[in-house]
Amino acid sequence: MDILTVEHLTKVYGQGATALKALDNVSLSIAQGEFAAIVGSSGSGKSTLLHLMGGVDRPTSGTVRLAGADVYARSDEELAVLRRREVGLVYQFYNLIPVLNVVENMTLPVLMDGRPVNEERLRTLLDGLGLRGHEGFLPNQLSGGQQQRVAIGRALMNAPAVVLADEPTGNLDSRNSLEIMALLRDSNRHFNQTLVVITHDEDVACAADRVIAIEDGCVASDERRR
Amino acid sequence: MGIFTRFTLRSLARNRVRTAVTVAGIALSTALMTAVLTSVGSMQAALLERTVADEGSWHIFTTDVSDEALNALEADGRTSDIATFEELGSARLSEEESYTYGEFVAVRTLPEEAKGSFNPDGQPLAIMPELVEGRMPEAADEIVLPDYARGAELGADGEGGARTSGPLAVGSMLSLDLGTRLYDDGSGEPVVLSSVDEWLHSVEQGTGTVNEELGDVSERTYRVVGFYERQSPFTGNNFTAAYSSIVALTTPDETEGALTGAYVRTQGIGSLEDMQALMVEATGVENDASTHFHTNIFRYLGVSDDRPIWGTLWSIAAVLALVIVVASVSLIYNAFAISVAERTRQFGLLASLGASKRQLRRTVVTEALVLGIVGVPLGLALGVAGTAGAFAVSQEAFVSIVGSGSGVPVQVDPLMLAAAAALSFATLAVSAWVPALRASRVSAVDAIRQTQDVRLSKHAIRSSAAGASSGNLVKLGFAGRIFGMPGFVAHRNLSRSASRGRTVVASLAVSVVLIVATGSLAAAMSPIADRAGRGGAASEADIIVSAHVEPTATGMVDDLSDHGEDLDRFLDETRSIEGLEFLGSTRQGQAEGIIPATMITPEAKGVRERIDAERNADFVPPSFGEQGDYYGSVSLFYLDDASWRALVAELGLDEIEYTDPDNVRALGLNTFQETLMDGTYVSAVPFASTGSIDLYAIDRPEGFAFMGILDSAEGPLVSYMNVVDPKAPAQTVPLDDVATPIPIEVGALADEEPDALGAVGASGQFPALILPESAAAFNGDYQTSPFTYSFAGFSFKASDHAKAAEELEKMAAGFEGVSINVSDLAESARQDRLVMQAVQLFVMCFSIIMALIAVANVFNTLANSIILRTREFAVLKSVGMGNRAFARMLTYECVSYAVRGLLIGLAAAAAVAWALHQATAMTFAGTTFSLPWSYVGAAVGVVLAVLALSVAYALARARAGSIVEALRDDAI
Repeated sequence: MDILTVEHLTKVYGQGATALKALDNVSLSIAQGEFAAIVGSSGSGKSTLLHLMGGVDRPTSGTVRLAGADVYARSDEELAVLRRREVGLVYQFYNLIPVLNVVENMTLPVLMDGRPVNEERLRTLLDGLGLRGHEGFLPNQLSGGQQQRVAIGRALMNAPAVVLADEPTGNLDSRNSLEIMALLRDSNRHFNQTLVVITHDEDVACAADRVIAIEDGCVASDERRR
Repeated sequence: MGIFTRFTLRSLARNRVRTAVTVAGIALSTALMTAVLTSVGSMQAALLERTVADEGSWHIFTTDVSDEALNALEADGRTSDIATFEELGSARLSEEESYTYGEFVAVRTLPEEAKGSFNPDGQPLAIMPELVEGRMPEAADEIVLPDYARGAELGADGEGGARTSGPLAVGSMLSLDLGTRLYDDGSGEPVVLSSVDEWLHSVEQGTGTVNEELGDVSERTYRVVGFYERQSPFTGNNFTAAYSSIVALTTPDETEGALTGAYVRTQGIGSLEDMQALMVEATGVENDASTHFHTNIFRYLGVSDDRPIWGTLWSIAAVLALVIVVASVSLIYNAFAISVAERTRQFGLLASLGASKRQLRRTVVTEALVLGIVGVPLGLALGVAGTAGAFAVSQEAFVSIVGSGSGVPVQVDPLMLAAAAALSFATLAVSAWVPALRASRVSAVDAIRQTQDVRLSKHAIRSSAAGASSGNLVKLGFAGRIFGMPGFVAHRNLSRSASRGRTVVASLAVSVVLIVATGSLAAAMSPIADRAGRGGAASEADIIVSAHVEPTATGMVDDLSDHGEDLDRFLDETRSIEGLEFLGSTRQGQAEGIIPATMITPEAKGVRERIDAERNADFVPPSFGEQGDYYGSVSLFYLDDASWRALVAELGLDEIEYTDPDNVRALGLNTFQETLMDGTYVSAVPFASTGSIDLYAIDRPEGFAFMGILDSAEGPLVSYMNVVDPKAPAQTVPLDDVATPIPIEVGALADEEPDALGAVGASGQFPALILPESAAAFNGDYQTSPFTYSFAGFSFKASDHAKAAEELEKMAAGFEGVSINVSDLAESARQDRLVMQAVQLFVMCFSIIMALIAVANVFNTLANSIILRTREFAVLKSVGMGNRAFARMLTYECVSYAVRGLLIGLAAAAAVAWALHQATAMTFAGTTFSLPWSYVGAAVGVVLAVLALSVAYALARARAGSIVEALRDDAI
């Protein structure tokens, strides 16, 4: 079953002579529980694609369907609700809220929804992410690897339809990179978490079920490994 | 252009709104500084010019200076210009003549320059007489005389030392037996008197032991060549003498006079003390009575002479300058702090590329310089133009303040402009320095680590280290439970970030201080406006008619209340005058009374005691008894029926209760202003509460003068003085023996002087009660009723005030025994109104500019502090925070800023208001300290409005940018 479907997606930045076509009529779909890697050179449009999938940007044309719903048919307010329930975003530079501690950062999407925190899931995630004992720490008291784990925890906390990660290991050393990728893989295996990861890293791409290559705003290749 | 300069200019251009707001802030504060300096400078110059034109530009005037002292003064480098004149002698007039012309004719030479110029900078050292006829003397035997000597025939009775041939006119001859005025003070050496001294003849009059004589008398004959206009005497006036004696002016020649006088202008002396020292050095005499210092102009020249008004003007100016500088520093500092914070990563990046700390500092300083170069000249121009505009609008008011016909030109003093510019650049430098230092300290690592943009509070770090390892992992806290998620995040922001919001709170606080300080300034200025208002400007009266009783042949004075019918008849007749509208009448009387201590405020008691100490002789009993009760006369003001009803209605009182003829109730006049003898202006709220007061009609036995009532251990007493033998001790009699108390209920207090009382200036009286006219229904003379009156004032409004006044005057003539005076207020009231308007205009301009600075400041800091967090907001949005929740979070934060800013601001504002109050208390004593509540309200309103505006602006900007853009990792 396809959890995420992208149809004829086009995104143009700017206008007139300086207009830049970041995405050009891209169509693809991601199945439930799939681990997809998006690869491509700088400026190929892969980040744009990821953002459009996650509902943080609006396309020039085309549709994105997430968990059966048309993402961009929604109002800004509904889009915000979609983001906190169905999307988990992980960035290269963690983007944690500096004044919130580990637990608060992780539970932010749940709290945002006004729902009670699933303490059991939180504990499981803290254990799995190796953040036990660091619950009250603030982001700048943590190492880069730890901060990225918090960001992953935040993305997974709500058991979203899809986790979108933009170069999650791009800012980490190789040991931390391996650990972070292992964590993402585990979530994919154990929770059947759908995962879309942008990466430059060959090892990361190799771990994925499917590798989508983007060139000049178009899908250049789409390989299913298993 | 270096790379750093270009970098600075680019970033200024990129943040157009902030750059504009900052330039506007710099321009506004420079403008305000310029306006304050230019206004003070112009006023001072105008007052100086006026005073110099009236009194001469001399600094020191001596009527008697020895040749040695004069030589010493001429040689002294501290004197710039000296003019001298000679007293050639005096001739005594006969007793008969002295009734009309004074005791003597003095002959004096016109002043002649002895050093420098008589007319330095076009300002004569001494004023010269204005001729009404003839010409100035050109030879030593020619004189000009005061105009009142015209037509005088002197020496006709063969007595006296002055002789004329026929009435004095141009061309007539005057022979004078001139001698030196001398008297023996017992030291053996005779004392020489000058023509400014009065004639000493106490032996002749039987009142003392001193008689002066004329020494070396010789006759001289002068030809009268002109008459000059008489002027009121003042120190340094060369052509008036003691009393109305005649001063004849002639030209100097070789003749040695009895005395030499001198006008001295000094240079480079900064205080009265130093000037006195100069004279002591030259003359060797301390406290020489013949030496006078021109303190009237010293205050404008900046020579300190310890006068209260001088201190006040400058302390007000100093507090204002301080407020302006603080406001500007706060505004400009915030702008730079934000501009630096926003570019932290840029600075780190530049540092990592090899920029030195000095280069980084210089980029910020360059930014300050660029903003200053645009803002300061703009501000100077704005300030000068604004001052010129304000002066032009209120020119007439200034004319009446300064009292000069030419008005007050705006004096653009380059020195003042330079001072304003220097002050502004200094402000700029101070404001930019700390952010510049901060910029230079940014390390490359800081720039690369992104989370460094928030400095955590110590508390946050401590509590985070403790960790939340067990139990409920997420504690929403109070804010979270009440305000949900947005409240939770906002609360975390507020409690865990050390610096976030501090600048916002500071700028809010400063804004509150600015606006409240402006209010305090307005309050400080209000006595000036009030004083103008007392002259009738506050009421709409054009004409005031006053009435009092003419003394009878026996010298006894009736009460005006005996002539009440006449007054009624007069008022009746005035109705026939066309276009004349009766506004109200007040009749004023006095009764003796005792007021309980509980009804009198301590401040009023203090002020009254101060006035008593200054004015009362020993034989007047003290105003306050042992327990603080008031013993003494109470002023009573009786209002006409319509005015009374209007006042009762205005105070929200029950009309029936207050117009019951069987149960008269009084209102306490709860405002009091007076000017003390040393020029200090005092004011007080007299009554602490309403209550009952006992009034008395006291027996006045023949041969005794009533002195007042007083407190004693045995109860209240009446003190009488024996008129036949004034040296006999005062006699006291128990009050109950000579009077019956008549209690009167003071049912309410009037905090402002009712318009109708303006005709008699009631607020100068304490204590004072207001009563309906019916209360004065006469039932006996002042010995049997306290409710009499001796003075009445009626106010009118006229369509043609001159014509109406003329008709009123005609009418007023027809009353026997009562003197009715008509004064046409229209012109003076108009001038007073203008003065009031000028004061209000000044306060208003200041308020507006201050409010603008406050608004710019809050806007700048708040909008920018939100824009600075764009990235953080994008993260919140990307994890699903909706716009509404986002707005709620910001609202929560802003409410917190507002509460803190207002609290701190109000506390600081109270301190500034107190300082301003202290500064003005020197001249306006007794004004109670209170916060200007309307301005406090305005401050709160402005702060909240700007807060809302800034948030809206910042939100719009934050919303306009896409989340993706804000989240981009390389966004520097």
